[in-house]
Amino acid sequence: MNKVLAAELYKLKHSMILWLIPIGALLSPVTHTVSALISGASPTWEEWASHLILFVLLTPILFSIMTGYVIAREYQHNTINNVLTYPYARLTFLIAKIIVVMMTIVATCLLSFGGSVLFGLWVVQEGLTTHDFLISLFSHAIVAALYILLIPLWAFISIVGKSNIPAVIVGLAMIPAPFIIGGSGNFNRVVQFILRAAGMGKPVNIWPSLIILGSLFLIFLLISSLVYTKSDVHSGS
Amino acid sequence: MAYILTTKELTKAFKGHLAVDHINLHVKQGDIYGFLGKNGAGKTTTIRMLMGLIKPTAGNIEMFGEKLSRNDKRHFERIGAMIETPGFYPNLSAYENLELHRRLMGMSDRKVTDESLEIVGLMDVKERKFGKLSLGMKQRLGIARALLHHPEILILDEPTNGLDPTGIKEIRQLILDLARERHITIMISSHILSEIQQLANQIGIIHKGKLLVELSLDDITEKNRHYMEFKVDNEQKSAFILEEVCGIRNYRITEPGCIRVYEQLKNSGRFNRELVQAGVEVKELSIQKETLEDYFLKLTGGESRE
Repeated sequence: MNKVLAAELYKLKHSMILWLIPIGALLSPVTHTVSALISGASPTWEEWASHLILFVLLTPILFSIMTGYVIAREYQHNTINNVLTYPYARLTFLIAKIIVVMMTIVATCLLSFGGSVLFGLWVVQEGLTTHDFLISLFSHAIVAALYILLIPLWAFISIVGKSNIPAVIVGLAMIPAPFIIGGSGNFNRVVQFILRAAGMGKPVNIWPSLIILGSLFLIFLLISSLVYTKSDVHSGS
Repeated sequence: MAYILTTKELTKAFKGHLAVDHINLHVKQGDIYGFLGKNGAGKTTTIRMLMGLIKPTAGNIEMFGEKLSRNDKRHFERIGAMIETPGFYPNLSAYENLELHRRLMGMSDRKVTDESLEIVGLMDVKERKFGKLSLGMKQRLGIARALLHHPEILILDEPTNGLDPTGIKEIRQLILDLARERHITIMISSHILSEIQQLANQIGIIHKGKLLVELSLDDITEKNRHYMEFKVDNEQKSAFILEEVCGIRNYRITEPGCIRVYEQLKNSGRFNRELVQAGVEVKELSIQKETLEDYFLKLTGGESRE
């Protein structure tokens, strides 16, 4: 597994897609910082935390592109013939790819968290308390967990579609995915739900959301694994 | 000699259509095995089954004396393959693509990457991105990848596809050098008869999913030799005269009234005289050359591509 994982990271390291991590992570805090500087607003940490909305809006597209790229490009570049003729089980490659996507999601959310805190220190006038710091950390961790649980779904679509485009289309359709945990069509409320789950304000029950997404994760992981390991690889596929 | 690769009744059906129909391949160690067939004959499907990319509907594959199971992929350490167009990552250089392969194959010695590039003559362009390489270079990189981990058998599916005559010649020479200098068993598929004829010492002809015949080097030589053909009224009497009077040993009755003689072609006049004097009616005498192409066409009932 280590060699396969290292190979997947090697491929990612040499690709332009890696730029999506800083772009996706920093777009939201940078935009809000510019907005605050132009308007002359002086938000509190609680108000500043709501900039998460742009990040939550962007990430389904971002992560579906990454998943599609890591998995589907093997079919698009005809490298699937090579990948599946290495002396490793097919499942090893799929798991390694899912782990790599997980790592990019975690890296993006960590960078977004770091950017949020650093730009916040510039824009927000009040001092950063441990409580505010932890809310920011936990809210980003919740976003990461949310999208990690959706990787097998994007993976399945990439395997079946043999292209990254279907995954991106589903990623676009996934923009409302946070509704599942927010239980609301209002994005602001969704973000408020994430922030409350992270410890800001009135507590919320996150378990129903986790059970739904966890089930999705397991079901699509199983289906993806079956399709990836059992299907024939034909010419041009 | 030991077989390095065999298939037993290997079959693949797609929606009721038999793409590969109960084929029994026999590849001996050290062979250059030419897998010849028209486009769509079932060559690539067979190779994909050998490489575990397609699950056979029936039959089995034995490699290195062991029956292969789809889940046991250890034998891939001993196989180098290039299936159809070589697939590489366009954003990585020739060197980086091979490095990736080296790492996945668990080769600790970094020198093997440069060695492979050297063998196929790509050292000068090793830092060039795969996407910027010419088709011939891409094919050679595919062979470099297949060679890098020092395989015992090399499986090349149409390695000269899309190449110009110079590129085809280069790849052909490379394959011959590999077999001669490194003693690697090579299985090469092609729809071009002349290409296979110049490379292989063993040929398997596949047509409409069926393996029609496997020919050895002797068979191939036989198919390419000159002979004199007598059309006579009595082939048994003619055979007796040729053998007893003319001292011919290398001859064959191919069909009633037809004898082919493979020796002493310069003495055709004398043989004709002896037959006539013995009362045999010689209807026709000709010197002919049987080619592998004639044989291939006869087997497949169509046109070949040179």
